[in-house]
Amino acid sequence: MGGEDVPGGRSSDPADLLPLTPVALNILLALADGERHGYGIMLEVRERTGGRVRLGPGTLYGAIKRLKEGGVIEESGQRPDPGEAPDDERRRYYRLSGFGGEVLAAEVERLDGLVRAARRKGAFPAPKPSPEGA
Amino acid sequence: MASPGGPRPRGRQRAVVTSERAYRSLLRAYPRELRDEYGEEMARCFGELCREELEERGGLGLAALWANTLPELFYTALKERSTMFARYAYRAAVGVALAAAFILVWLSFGVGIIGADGDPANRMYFGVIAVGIIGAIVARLRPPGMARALFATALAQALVAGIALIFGLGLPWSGPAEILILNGFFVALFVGSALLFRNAGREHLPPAGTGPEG
Repeated sequence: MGGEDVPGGRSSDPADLLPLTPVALNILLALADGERHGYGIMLEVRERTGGRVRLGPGTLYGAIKRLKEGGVIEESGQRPDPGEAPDDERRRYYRLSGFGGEVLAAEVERLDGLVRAARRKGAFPAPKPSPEGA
Repeated sequence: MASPGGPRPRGRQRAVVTSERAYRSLLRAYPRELRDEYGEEMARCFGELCREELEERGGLGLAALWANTLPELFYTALKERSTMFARYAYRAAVGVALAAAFILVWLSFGVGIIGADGDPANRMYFGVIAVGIIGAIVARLRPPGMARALFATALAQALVAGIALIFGLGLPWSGPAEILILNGFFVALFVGSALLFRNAGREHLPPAGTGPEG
């Protein structure tokens, strides 16, 4: 469920918005390779996470609202080519803004740093239990 | 792909329409701002989820979807409402603080809270205003710092009242009761403003600091 996805108001520094909530990160990742409508975001997140993360409409649109207000995502005026993918005209499509791309990159870099630190400390991958301890 | 135990296509369509309609009416739990902008999409999205569940798992799938959606709906509605409240709380806090400061300046330097008009003891209220202004500058107008600044301002106001009472300032024009009531009024306004700032601050914590996620 959704926490505060971006702090109130607009920021010009991606670092001000970090760390992102899991909901916000999943939405930005869903939009990283192209624009999607709300239901499309839900499906992408569910498929990518193997069904572990299922965003409900309230969680999704609350986050979309805040991400849009924060200038992280924007509404796309374009619609898919009707010949390729017939779609409901009323659907609204969302995409990452330029700033949103920077926010996503900064968050991924932050997480990458955490993973590297965990590796250095031997916490990842999880150490195998020793036979004596079993 | 129809589920063996699921409804037939026409019954399925009716179940989707009914569910979508019920969900649409529950959207009233959200603040109008969110509802007006995204309500239609949310309902359509829920309709898509209903259709998918009915096709894949039949009536049981639809029931499970409702069982997951209802708590999510009420939790997020509460969250959205508290976010809206926090936005208004900040504005209200600024309004209360400015109004209190304006009335304080007007009363103390125009009419005189302590003693008669022009009593030098009223200059102590410069200090109260200064505490608020310096606190706001230090806090850079951010809600948690502003809450502390306003609590400090209320404390300074109470201190002025205490000094006036202990040293008998303003007598015989201002009795202890008058000093207590007038200063108490401003203490209440500054504390009220501080509490509103604190409430606004709770909603402006960094993203990971609030509520359950994922």
